[in-house]
Amino acid sequence: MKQNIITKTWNYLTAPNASITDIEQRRQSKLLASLIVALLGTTIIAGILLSAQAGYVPPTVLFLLPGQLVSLLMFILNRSGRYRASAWIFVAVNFLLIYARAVTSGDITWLLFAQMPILFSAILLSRRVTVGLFLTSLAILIGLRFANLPSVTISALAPIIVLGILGSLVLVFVSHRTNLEVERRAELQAANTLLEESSAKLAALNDQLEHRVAERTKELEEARDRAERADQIKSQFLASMSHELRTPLNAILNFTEMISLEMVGPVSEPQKDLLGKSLGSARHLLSLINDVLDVSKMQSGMLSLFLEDNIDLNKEVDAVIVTAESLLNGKPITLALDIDADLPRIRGDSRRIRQILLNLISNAAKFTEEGTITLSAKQRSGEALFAVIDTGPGITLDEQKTIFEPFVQTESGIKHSGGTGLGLSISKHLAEAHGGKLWLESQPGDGAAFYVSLPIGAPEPVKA
Amino acid sequence: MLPVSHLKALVVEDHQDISMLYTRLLMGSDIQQVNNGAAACQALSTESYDLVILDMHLGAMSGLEVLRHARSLAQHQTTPIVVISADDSLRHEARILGADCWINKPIEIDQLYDYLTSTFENAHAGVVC
Repeated sequence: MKQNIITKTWNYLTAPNASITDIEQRRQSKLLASLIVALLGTTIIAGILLSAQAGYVPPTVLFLLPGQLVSLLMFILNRSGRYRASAWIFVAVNFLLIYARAVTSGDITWLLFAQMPILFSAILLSRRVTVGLFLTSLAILIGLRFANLPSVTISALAPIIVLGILGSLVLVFVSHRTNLEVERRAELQAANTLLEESSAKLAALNDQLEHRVAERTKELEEARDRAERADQIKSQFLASMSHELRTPLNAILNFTEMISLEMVGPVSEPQKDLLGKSLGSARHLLSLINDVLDVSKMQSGMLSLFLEDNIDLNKEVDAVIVTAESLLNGKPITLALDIDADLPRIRGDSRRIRQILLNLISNAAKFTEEGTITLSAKQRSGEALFAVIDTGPGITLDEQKTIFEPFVQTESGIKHSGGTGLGLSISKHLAEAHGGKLWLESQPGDGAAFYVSLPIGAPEPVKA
Repeated sequence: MLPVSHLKALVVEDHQDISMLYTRLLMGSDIQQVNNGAAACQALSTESYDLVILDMHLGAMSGLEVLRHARSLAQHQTTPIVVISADDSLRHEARILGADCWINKPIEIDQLYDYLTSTFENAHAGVVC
């Protein structure tokens, strides 16, 4: 804001003390300072004019001097931060001086000034003080009316001076109030505008946000519905696949077996041999289909165990050993056994437990060209621990990281080209569904060991 | 070969080849074949059998419903019912509904014969099925 020299000077003279922090009191302090400056200025000019007219310094002017000095003191007091005290003294001194002068001089004109302290009080102090002052003034004026005062002399210049002084003071007051009002209104308006703008922005933002949330929610719901539908379709597809693929295969297997068992008539040895190969391939195909279906069920969380209590692990291991012999494919491999005679009875799915062990043995047999495959089964604290240890080529560290992921086959696994690469991930999943674990230890070039632990007090069916 | 003879058996199987397979395996018995659940229920309601071979996936009416129906009939409270299915997920429910034996497809012929031996030659041999 541009300020001319007078405004600057005025502001400099009337600036309130920095120690006053209350905004209302700062304004009052500035007002008091303004009043004192205006009063000092006008009384000094009045003094000069009166002296010039009379050709000497009249007693009235002399009388004004102490008032001006007190005003100066008040000005300093106010500027030093003691606004309240100086306001009180300012009003009181004005009040006293005016009446004192009126009484001592016998000049009733002075009583014209009687309204000044009331005006000051109205501006600077409380309404109660002002009313008190007004009543006192009234009392004094009535008193003076009945008092026996000396004859009255009125200076021709006096009313003009009174008008001038009062007028300037009122102007100061009015302009102060107006400025204040305008300032406040502008501030309020600015704040209001700002508030309205920001709340409008906020509302818009909110609307946008709500809209976006609703949109996203809808998208998510749709995506979820789609996924659920897809999952349902997949499940239905799986169920029918499981039936449709296996039904003809089952027929092939069982009819071939019946012929091979000579249930429908005698079969020659070469025929039996070919029927055996046919059966082997059909069983292999069935296990591949079963693996794919198991993994699909596993991934859609639908692979469930048929849990039974008191599974006799020794019986299951015996059944595994019988089948394991046929998995060695005539390679020069010894199947070594290290089985505790009193394995615990556990709660579990016997078919799935056999599946895990046969998968591990079949893997070992696939990768071991010669040497030993050891199957061990022990009771450890609270669990049954199985191990399948081979003397094959071992598994590299890189391969160990991905070997349990479905569809992953090691390089040598691909070379051997048997299986789907699903067996280990299914086995691990099945072990974990029993509340157990499946892990491996292997040094490349020095064989591999796969371990399966199954808890004896298996927890309630873990969702497979 | 079939360890028992002269059984009166009901084979419930929608697939003709498989149904014929069971007939072959049970050769020497008096066998009635049906290929859907409704026909199975009808047969069970009117006849009594020594043995029921039951598939689970039968189209409109499932094997589980046939099982439930069979066990609701007075003459079939204790009739041996063998469920032969590839759908392992129904095994638990089938047992609850009163199936005596569960055989996974493809059937191991020995498993079926072992069950028949224990059931009909020595009622308390207790072959776990």
